Amino acid sequence: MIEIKNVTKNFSFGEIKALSEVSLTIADGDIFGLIGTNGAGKSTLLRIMSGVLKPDTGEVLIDGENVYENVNVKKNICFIPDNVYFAPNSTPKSEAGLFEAVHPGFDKKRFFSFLQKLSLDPEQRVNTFSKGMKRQLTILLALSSGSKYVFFDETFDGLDPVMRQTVKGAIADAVCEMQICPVIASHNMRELEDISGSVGLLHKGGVLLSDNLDDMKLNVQKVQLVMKDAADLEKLLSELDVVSKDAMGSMNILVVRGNHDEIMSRVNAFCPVFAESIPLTLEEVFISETSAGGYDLKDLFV
Amino acid sequence: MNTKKLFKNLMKEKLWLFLLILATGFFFFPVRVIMLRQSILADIRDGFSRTFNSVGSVLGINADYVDRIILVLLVVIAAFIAAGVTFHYLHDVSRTDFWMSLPIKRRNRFLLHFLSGFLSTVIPFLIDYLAAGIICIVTGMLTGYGITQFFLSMLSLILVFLSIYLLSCLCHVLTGRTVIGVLLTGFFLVIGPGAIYLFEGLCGCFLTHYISDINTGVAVWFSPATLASLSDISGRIIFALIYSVIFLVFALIAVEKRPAEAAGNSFSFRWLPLFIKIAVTTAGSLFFGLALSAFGSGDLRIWFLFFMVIAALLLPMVMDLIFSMDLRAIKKNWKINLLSFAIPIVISIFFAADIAGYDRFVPKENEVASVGIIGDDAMNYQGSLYVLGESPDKTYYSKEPVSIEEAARFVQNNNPNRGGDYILRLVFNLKSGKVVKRQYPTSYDEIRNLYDVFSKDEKYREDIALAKKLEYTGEKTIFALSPYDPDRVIEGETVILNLDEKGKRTLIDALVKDESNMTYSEYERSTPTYLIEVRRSSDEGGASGVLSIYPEFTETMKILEEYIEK
Repeated sequence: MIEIKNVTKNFSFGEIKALSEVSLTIADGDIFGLIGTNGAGKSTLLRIMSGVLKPDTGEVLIDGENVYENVNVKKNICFIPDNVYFAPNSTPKSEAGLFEAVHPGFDKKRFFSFLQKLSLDPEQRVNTFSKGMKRQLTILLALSSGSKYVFFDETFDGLDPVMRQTVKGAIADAVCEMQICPVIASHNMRELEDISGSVGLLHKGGVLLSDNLDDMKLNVQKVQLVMKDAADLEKLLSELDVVSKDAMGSMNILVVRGNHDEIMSRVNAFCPVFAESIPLTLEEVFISETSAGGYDLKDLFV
Repeated sequence: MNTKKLFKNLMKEKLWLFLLILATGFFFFPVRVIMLRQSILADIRDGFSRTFNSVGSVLGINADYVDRIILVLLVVIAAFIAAGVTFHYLHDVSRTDFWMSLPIKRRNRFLLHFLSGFLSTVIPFLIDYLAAGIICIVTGMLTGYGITQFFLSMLSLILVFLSIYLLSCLCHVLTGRTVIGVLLTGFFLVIGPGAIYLFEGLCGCFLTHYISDINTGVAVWFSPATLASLSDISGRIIFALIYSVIFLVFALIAVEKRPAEAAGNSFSFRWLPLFIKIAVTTAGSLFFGLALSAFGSGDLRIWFLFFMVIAALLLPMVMDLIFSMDLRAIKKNWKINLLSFAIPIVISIFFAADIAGYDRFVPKENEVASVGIIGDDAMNYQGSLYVLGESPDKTYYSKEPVSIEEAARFVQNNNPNRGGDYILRLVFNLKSGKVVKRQYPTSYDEIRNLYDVFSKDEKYREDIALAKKLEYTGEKTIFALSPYDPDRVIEGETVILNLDEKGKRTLIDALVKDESNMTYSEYERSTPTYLIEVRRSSDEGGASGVLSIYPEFTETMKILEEYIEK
């Protein structure tokens, strides 16, 4: 289990505040998605969780031990940052050698079988790889590392749709087979939604929300409705905590904060021509929560 | 974590460095030795010392000036490249993320990288150096003493490299960008000797009576880079070892404290930019002031102040641009920049206003034990026979007090603004044991008057006799006599005096006695008739000195009569 307790981190000798009093708990056996606005501190949090950065205050405990400068804990961690370092003239084969040296549980067989599946040449120089191929390679290295905790930063960047599905499958398989605990930071909520059991939402260096994805969706509802007249719609909107509103002809699509039943009873009280609640995407939850935290899309275009 | 495998990987990454050093060293050591071989084999027939000197130059044992500079440059460049390549990972976010997330302690990670860089450079050097040594030994170019010196030189070069490499490693730990790390290393390499020369320069610029009391030769000890230029191999080894230990300790402390987020920033620690900015601005502006004022005419002090102020204004701004690549940093750091600007100004004022009272020194008769005159190039002709040279062990004339009143009166009359075409240098041995040296720009007449007063003392004259400086070292000393011919119009033959050891000693004694029998004025009136050259050679090299023989040198002439007749 990963416990992040009141972690604060500033950069540039205190001029830039990256994280402020962040607390999170990530349970074993879960795929944890870390989402957040630009500059929210996702990468910083991952770097602290991997023991790269030392928090200014607070601590990150992995299986009850502080991770910073702790060799025993770090043995169980594999961190794949956004920009991965490859040794000059390295090949997938030589990278496997390096990972074998630093991760005692590295499964070479598994790695080469992955390589074959993804049609990556073990002898080809990594610097001739495309961005997506490099990304695939790093994911394979991480999943073969034998580490219990694997931290991915912007994993799905540069992958084509087919590869994204393959990678998601590989991560899910690794969770089932090896009981790894992946933490994935990404802007791509669509991908995270498919794979993550729990999600942490970072905003302006703090945690806005951390919960099971299904529970998270309980507090925000998406409703599409057709009202008899515009006055009723205006009245309804004033009664609801509307996060966003879209219209397609006479059809209105509302994202509303609140309990499902309560919202629907208010809507039905206006006797709409048509009204139904539809599933919410993670992106809509994200917009809803960040707007509550002062990150309003409308403000960006004023 | 398999440290061995990781280390192997690191070494593999630096294979190109290994090959680069191997190729450079191959041309610098074995090839040069082979090229020398033909000429050296001929030298072997003539004597050992020339052979040893030639090979020694290549191998850094007994290097001449140019070879020393090349060796220093090679060692410094190798250390810069090795440290830059090895610790680049600290300056790159992705590499930092990779290395810092590995299950290995910071200190061990540093040592692992450090060793890989060190061995990738030192092993190819050793291969080339040993190959050159073997060639020399097999062909007879190095024997006995030379072989011992060869191995000592090898050790010293490795240690000098180690100390510079460690300093560079430390600087890369202290910084977050490779270029800043390299600049910082360069700064630390020059600041030690540079500070001494800056002090000398400022004293020379502002203090009229200043005589350097610092042996600038010691400047080489203040930087690991200049250590490589020393011919004293054991000194190199000891100092390089001391530097290495100091830098290693600092580097290990810095590694423990260094935040990983420093990658990409200019400096790893908050206090460092302030320190560096002040140090660089102070040293740099004083240096530019001194260097550029040399091109000015008239009062150099005005030019110094002009260029120093401009440099002190510009340097902090230039550093802001280098550190931040952002013009706004200049405005943001105005307080630090102002402080950086103020410090060289304060230092300059300290010297310009002579706050320490150096130029205002007037000897008090009851405090002075004795006074001597230090030789000057301008008076080097006959006058040099009557001045007291600076002896290597730094003891000055300190027997009976001589003409203190006269010297004190002279000093009193020579205020800094008085000036003159000649420089008189006096040394005052105070009763407290302190030695005070001052120089006075003055007229030739005044110098002559003072010399005459001083030369009344026979004991003084004997002590300063030039012949006493000739090192008599037995068989290998040769005495050569030739006619005195300042215009080189007389076709005089040089005669090697066939003297046994006793004869040589008698000749030296006679020279000392004759020299000290004449007063300064007598020298001025007389003209030498012969020159006697004393040449000395040894395994470490040679030395020679030339003495003028005057007609008044009766005892010397008696000994030389036999050869003069010939």
